[in-house]
Amino acid sequence: MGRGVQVFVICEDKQHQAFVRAFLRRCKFNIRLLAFVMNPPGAGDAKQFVQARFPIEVSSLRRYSGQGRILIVMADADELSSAKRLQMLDRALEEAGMEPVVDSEPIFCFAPRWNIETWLAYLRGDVVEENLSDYPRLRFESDAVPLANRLVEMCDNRKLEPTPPSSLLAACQTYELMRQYLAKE
Amino acid sequence: MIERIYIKNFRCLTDCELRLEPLTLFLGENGTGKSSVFDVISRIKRFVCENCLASETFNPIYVTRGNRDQRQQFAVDVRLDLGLYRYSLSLQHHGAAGIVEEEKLMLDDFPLHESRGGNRSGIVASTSDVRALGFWNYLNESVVVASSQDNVDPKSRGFFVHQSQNRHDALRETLKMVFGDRFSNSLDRWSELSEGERMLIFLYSLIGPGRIVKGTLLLDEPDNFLSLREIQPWLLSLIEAVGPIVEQAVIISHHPELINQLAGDRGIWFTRDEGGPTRIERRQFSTDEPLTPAELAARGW
Repeated sequence: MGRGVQVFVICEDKQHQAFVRAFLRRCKFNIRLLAFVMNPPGAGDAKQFVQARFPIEVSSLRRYSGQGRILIVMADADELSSAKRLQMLDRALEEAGMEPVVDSEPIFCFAPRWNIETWLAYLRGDVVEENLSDYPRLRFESDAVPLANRLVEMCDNRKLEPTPPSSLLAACQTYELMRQYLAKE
Repeated sequence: MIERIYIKNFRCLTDCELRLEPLTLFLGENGTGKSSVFDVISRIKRFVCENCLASETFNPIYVTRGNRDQRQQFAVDVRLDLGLYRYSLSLQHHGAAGIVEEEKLMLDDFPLHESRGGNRSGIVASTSDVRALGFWNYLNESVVVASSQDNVDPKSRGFFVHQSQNRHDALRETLKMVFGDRFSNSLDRWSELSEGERMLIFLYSLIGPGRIVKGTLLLDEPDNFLSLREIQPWLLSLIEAVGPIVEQAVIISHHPELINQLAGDRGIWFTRDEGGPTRIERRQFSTDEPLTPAELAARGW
């Protein structure tokens, strides 16, 4: 899947970047066609960065629309529910005077709760609680690889191991939509 | 991996200690001594491993300008499986002839070699302790110092092509994985490639299964010659390779992508007042910092 697809990823930090990259690589996306727009250190609040960047990237994708380009957004939900965090992204478009994202557009948004570290802990085999924010960060980016591989395997089998965080379940449904979109490409 | 480097009285590095991580970025303005650190490692490597004369390898013209003290000191700490190797070299220049004042190699607190006088390294010649050879081997085979200019030279093709057949196959596998069929025959028609394509192949060969070394990569401006869209994918591949594939990478770069990715938690900033000595620092970035690391670097702040 995705061999010739150009993927743009908006994300909050290096944890997101490492995990998404490892995941997409395992899904056989060409790593030279992945472009990450990450909040650099010193650029202020990561959540605000994603909010501000989302309309720009959506606008660019619509302007330069063409086959083989998709946009992925990773935004930690934190204290919000995953659905509410995604609604905030919709609001960013509204505030920018833009049309909302429709199902036919290649735009796929993911909102881990509490954050990506919760997913990482689950993929390590821990029992996780989405209301807690104290799961460990990756020591090295390469530590994301086996965890991302594990998630790809689960997605391929269409079954998450017990007991998945609800935000990850929602993300898997979004990933399935992405897979269906790319299958049509 | 190299954990520490100490340099005294070499060009603008008057008294400089650097502690390195598995992945480190050197950044700062031109002429602040970043490449000089790599230069020192190269010279130590030649002196220890290639039996070069100290007086030629460490020519007195590299003594810090205006410094009456003609003594140069260098130290490198390398952590390997056996423990922490501490290598130190002190040179006293008398006119044009460099003389080894003291050369010492320790493993943890145990002395493996110590010599005074002479003009060549005694690490291999005078020691029968095989543990000393561990350090020599690491320096000789596992430390690659590469500037972009060196590696796009067609002559340096041999740098990675003339490997064993297994490695050659592994390199082809890397190229196929990254580029598909685009470079499948490139190793046989190297001179037809652009400088950017050569650089791209070289950079991926460093971190793929056909890699040259697992040890320490010292890369001076690897982003030179690469198109903008190639820089981030390669950098993220390198970041992911550090640990499982590459033990250590130290990069010099002025590129905003590398600076924003690495300077925050892995950057060593080099600064220098006009004609003065180099100062080095690590900087902490808080979330209320209004400028990105690349913006700070661009302003010279």
